[in-house]
Amino acid sequence: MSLAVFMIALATAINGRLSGLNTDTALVKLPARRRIGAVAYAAFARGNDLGNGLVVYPLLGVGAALLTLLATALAYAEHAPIELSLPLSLASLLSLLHTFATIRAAPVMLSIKDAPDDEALLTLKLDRFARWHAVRATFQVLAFLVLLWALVVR
Amino acid sequence: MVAFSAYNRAADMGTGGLVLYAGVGSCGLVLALVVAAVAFFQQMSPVHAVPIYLATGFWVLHMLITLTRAAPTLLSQRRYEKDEHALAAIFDRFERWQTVRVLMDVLIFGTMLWTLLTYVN
Repeated sequence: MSLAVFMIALATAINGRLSGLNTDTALVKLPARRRIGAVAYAAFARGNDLGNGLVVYPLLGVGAALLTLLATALAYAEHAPIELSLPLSLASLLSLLHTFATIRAAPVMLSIKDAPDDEALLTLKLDRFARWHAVRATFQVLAFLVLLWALVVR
Repeated sequence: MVAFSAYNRAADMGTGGLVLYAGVGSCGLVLALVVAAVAFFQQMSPVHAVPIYLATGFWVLHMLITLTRAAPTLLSQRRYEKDEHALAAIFDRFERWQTVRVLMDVLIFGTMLWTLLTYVN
């Protein structure tokens, strides 16, 4: 197995885990705020996203983007055919877009840490976070699928 | 614990959780079994077939643990909505089974990627 294939496989694995986490947050975790209320959900988020999440999510997010960019750079350095460089370039672009959406989403979540337990204020913040999270989850899932495509054509 | 249980019942046991987890879990297992059957009947070479059989085995284990241990443990919290100690015991037990399931998940994902890689070059 060449270094390029190893890097694509590793990038696919990490992006796959992140896609799963993002999908779970968008479809299972965040909708729960409508059933238990924003104050209760914010208490959960302070213990979860702002607890272990502060270590796990950035590690996975930054790791996935870096590995994708590295795999793409390696493919270009090895003069990979267009069939491979195209999906890898697309995956890199999607990773950058995911990073951009995270830059918009993360401060909203971080601001919940010290926000007062005000239902209206927290609803506003969580709704805003949910919108940006939906955007980044879409980019992340697409990046994972495109990396799988790259792995198959390789 | 009472607050976490309220969240958990709204998330994992809510519509999104039930649809996503049950849907992905069932589809994943069925697809793995179909792929294993195809590998068996087409008499694939061991290079391709071994990771397929391994992944299917992990899927079956994952589903057995989910159906006989993890899911019933999580569902039992409905009987103790206000009992802090009972809920703590339930979530501790669920956490142990969830750790085993995560290990299975990672092994399934790893062996699936391994299968794909056997077709590279």
